[in-house]
Amino acid sequence: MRAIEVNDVWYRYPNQKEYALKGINFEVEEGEKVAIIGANGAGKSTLLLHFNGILKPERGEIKIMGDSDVRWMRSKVGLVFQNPDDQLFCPTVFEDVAFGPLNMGLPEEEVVKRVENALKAVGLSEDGGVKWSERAPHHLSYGERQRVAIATVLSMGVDILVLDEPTSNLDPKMREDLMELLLTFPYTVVVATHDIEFAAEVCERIVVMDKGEIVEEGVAERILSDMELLRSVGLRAPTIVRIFEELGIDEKPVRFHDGVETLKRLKQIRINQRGGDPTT
Amino acid sequence: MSIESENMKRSMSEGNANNLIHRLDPRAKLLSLMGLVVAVVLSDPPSVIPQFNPSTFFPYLFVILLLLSLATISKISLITLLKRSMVVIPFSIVVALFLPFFGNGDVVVDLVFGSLALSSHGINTFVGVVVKSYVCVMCIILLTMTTPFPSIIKALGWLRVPETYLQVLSFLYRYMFILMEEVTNMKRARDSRNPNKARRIWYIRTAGLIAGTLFIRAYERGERVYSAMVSRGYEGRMPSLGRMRMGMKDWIFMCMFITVSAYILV
Ligand SMILES: Nc1ncnc2c1ncn2[C@@H]1O[C@H](COP(=O)(O)OP(=O)(O)OP(=O)(O)O)[C@@H](O)[C@H]1O
Ligand SMILES: [Mg+2]
Repeated sequence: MRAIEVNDVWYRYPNQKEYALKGINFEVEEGEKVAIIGANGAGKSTLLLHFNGILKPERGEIKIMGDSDVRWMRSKVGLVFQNPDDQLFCPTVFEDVAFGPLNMGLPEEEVVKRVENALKAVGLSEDGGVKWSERAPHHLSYGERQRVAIATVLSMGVDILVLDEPTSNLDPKMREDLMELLLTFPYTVVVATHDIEFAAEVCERIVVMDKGEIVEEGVAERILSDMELLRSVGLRAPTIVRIFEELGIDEKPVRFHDGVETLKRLKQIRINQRGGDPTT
Repeated sequence: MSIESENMKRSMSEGNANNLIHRLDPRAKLLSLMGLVVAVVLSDPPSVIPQFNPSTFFPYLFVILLLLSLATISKISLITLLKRSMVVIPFSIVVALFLPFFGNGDVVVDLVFGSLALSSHGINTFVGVVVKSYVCVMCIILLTMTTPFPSIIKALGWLRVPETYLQVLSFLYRYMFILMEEVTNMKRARDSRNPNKARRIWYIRTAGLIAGTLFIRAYERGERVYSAMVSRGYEGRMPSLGRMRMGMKDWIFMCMFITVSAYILV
């Protein structure tokens, strides 16, 4: 079954002439990790809000796991907003993570268990002596808030995790931690971002948006090595791709480690061609 | 984050302190201290004039001593508690300023030939209002310093305070610091783009701009927060887990306060 199905969706904000989404078509398979990339104002956030029924298309249709009922959509899709301060509105972390499950009418013990598991899943387990669940969201660091924000939707038992610009305020370490977290997640993940490197590391498929339309989609290796395409929509290829381009190498790996491996291989080939003596 | 708001955040109880008073059921604390506040408000004012009678001050001194000893048990700095309770004094003085001119006791000082006079009853009421407000605010501050804000909200909910009002309160608690931070940032942005020493009028005008912008930002944030709530199944009610339990200690605490309140009233 398809996790997300978007059929010819048009959307215009109230009192606006211009459409923010102009006939969007795309699909996400279950278990897939997809990045939606595009410059500022391309319509990424607008599209994500549709996955949860917060915005309703003017024309067209959205189906989540085969159904377009709003309640169903909300129980399946966990939407993590760009700014965790918008997502975390309760006085304590516990209440925030429990908010979704309680609204679903689950019994108390189940809620407590879910909160624990969700916090554990984002690396904020209680064993370290830190009582995460009792802390106030505004006392947490930005990266911690982001994790709690993800936990608030995981606790609802969603199957699809949708994140809007998850890396926009993270330091390099936090960003890498988030990458690892998402890579190990057993969920369908959709990320809207203009952090190209992040998209390359985490997602196998890339959707490129520009001015409310999808201009191209495909596997990460093809899309992210297409420098022309990315430039035309106001984005840049990953640094590793640009290095390979500068060096005039045809092969263009998009992930950092693939790039390093390729360079090592090329070096080895040259050494072998010279007769196995690297010092000459 | 600015230093002031950092300090303020720290001063609001976070529930990590682990001693007797902090661990009491919030409902017990809320009821006890509210009861005491009511008793203090309803008690007879002290007598300063025509005869200064120190014994009429004893109940208030007794309450202050009680609060201070509770503060000692809770490891709260007494100076902080006494000083923080002072904030109310200017307000109560302003509010009570005209009381001495009313009241039907004997005239003490005749200012304008009988038409404007200070009465003894009025002066006593004035002193009473100032002293009582100080004691009451001290009760409230002790409560907030020993009880995490979310627990107070929960206790208020148990007392059937309207849900909407409590939601507004908890949002205020959650977003106050963020809004303060936004104001600080906007003020910095303003000042950093103004190399010359500014005139007062400029400050007033830009303060207006900042207030307006803050309003719009708060409004838009409200919309975003609402989306976040709706996407997690919000339908108008804040769900909560009932995890409060009254124990022996809580009942003893309440009995103690009822006794004290009765003593003050009689
Ligand atoms: N509440 C709103 N009212 C009116 N127009 C809006 C609103 N929100 C967004 N838009 C417009 O819709 C278009 C798409 O915006 P959207 O926020 O979806 O872009 P985005 O791809 O998420 O951009 P960014 O990378 O900056 O987050 C933009 O032209 C924007 O100006
Ligand atoms: Mg956006």
